[in-house]
Amino acid sequence: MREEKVRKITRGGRNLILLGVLSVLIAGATTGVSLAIYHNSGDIYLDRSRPGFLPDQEEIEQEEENEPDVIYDYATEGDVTVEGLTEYLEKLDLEIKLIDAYEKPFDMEILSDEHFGIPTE
Amino acid sequence: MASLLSLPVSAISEVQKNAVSNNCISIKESLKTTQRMDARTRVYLGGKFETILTKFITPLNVKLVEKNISNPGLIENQSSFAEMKAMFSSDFIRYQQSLEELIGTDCEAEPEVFYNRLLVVRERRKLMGQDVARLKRLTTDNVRLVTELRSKL
Repeated sequence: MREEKVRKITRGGRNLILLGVLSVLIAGATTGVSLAIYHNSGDIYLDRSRPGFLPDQEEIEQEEENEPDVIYDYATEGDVTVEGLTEYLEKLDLEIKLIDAYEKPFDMEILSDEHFGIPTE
Repeated sequence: MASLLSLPVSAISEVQKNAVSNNCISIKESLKTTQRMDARTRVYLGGKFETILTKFITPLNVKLVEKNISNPGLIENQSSFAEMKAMFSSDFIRYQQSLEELIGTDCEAEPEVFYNRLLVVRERRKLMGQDVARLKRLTTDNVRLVTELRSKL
């Protein structure tokens, strides 16, 4: 009777270890699949929260400086008025200026032979 | 896009191969810096274009439809803008994939392979510049169409 009880406890301990190992394996496999999807879908390239791509302090400060105090959103209620469209155009002009002020987006010079010290022939 | 994948294999001279091999470390460093700067550019410009679409163009068109004001030009502008913005993201993914492949290439041992991959990255980067230019043009078109609409009220 006592021997049977001891055997049951031993088996219970072994099952607990098995459960733990299985859980770790399942967690590892699902994490691997998630990472593969994250990479293969290209989402990784749109994510700036990954290590090495986080914005630095200077960039955060610069962005906060450029951000308007109140975020504009064209009101969908009410009538379409001259005043409403004038405000729309004024606010849109601010966005256009911020886009134009961004220096050389996707400039080609940075990938040129000259930039890399490769002689052109 | 398919034409990019079938870029002709460009033979580079021995002088160029040596330059790639000798400058390998500095080229890789420069590419990694470019990769980080491009991520910043995409987030900044992508955010701006998203704001223009969701805070300006779309709500104005919703209101025009609700008020039965027909303006096919603005509707077309919205659909072109949304399509272009999606293309901006998908082109960026393809560009970054090719840039990552380039960074992963051993330029000391395989300068020719590296150079040919660099040509692909250049083509894809050029597309990014064109996408930005198109989105800017569509924004300018929107300003013109809204100004015309305002003058008719």
